[in-house]
Parts: sequence; C-alpha cells; structure tokens
Amino acid sequence: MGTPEYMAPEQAMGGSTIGPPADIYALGVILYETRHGRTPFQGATLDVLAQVQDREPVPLSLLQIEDAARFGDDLPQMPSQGTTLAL
Amino acid sequence: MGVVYRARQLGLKRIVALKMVLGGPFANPTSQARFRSEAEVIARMQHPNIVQVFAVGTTRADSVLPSVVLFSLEYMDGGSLEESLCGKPQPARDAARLVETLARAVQYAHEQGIIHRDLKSANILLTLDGGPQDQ
Repeated sequence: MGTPEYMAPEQAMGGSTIGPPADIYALGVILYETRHGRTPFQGATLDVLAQVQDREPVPLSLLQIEDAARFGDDLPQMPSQGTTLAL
Repeated sequence: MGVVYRARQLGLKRIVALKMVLGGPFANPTSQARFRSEAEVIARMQHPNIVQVFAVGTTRADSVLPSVVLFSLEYMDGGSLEESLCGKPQPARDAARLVETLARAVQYAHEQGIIHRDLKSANILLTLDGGPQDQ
C-alpha cells in the first residue's frame, strides 16, 4: 500500500506500524509538489524507496530560481478551487 | 486497486462516481471484503472535504463476471490535483491554502481513527467551481 513518492521513511522501510505521521509526511510531499511541480524524489520505484530513506529533499528555496527560469514569474493558477480528499 | 466510472444514477438523475474492483486476481472474496470495508470506512466520515459515499452494493453475477462489490460516490468534476498541476509550480499562497484544507480533512479522519496511508495528488479531487463541497 502507498505510492513510493509519497511514502514516509517508515513506510518505505516496510514497517508494519504506520500511523498518522505517515499521512502528515505525505501532506508535506503534496505541499512540495504543489509549490515545485514535482515530488521531492523521482525515479524508478526502488530508487525512490531508497532516496526516501537515505536522502534529504532539495530545499524548495534552492529550487525557486530554477522554477522561475522554467515557468517565468507568472506562475499558472490552478483552475480549481474546491478540494476533496478521495480515499 | 479499483476502477472508477462516471455513471448516472437513474432514480435521482444525478452523476455519480462508481467504484468497483474488476475481475482477475482482485476479484477474490478477501479483496471484495476489504473493498466493502473501505466503503464503510469512508461512509463513516462526514466532512466537506472528504468524498461522500452514497451507497454500497453488489453486482448481479452473469456468465462473464462474478458478483462484485461496488459503491457510488459523489462525482467530482474538476479532475485530480495531479492532473491540474501538470508539473507546474503554484504560488506559495495557493499551495499553502490547498494543503491547509487537506490537513484539516486529514486531521478529521485521524480523529475518527482512520489513517489514509496513500495520500497523493492523484487522490485529491477538485471541483470546477468550488461548488457545494467546499462551503
């Protein structure tokens, strides 16, 4: 269960006691993805699982210049306002 | 592990999302039971930002398909956050506002003793107009 890019380290390790902190970690990944356009770790499944456990994400502050170069200052607006969580 | 169809509920003339597990290895009784309890878990929650379950049922078995569990959900017309982002960064304020909304919904689920375990942008559904769900 779970998707590697959004897994907390304890999930990526295959731990059996997955609690609320795993959801909070995934919210952090979604925030990162919304702000940067991509999740912190990319690649093949096993690579991502290893990165989640062993590496720190590149801070968003370091990616802002790159993002501005890619998309300009006028960041696109999300077309939608309503938000619903699907399980 | 399910598939989701856009469907019309005849009696009430409304569009719903219909979720079911198709045939193959997932159609065994264990995963059908798990699927049904998933629907029951979602149905326990009442929150403006958590998708609403309308009904749970089973299909009639025929010569091609065995009987499978399905449930109908509120249909969200704006697609997923993943589709909406399409790899493009959003302004900090918008990103923060979005995740605040999500965090409050997740807190509600946690207070009901429910852990999502698979939060991702593909699982965040949007409405086109910010419709009744968000008010």
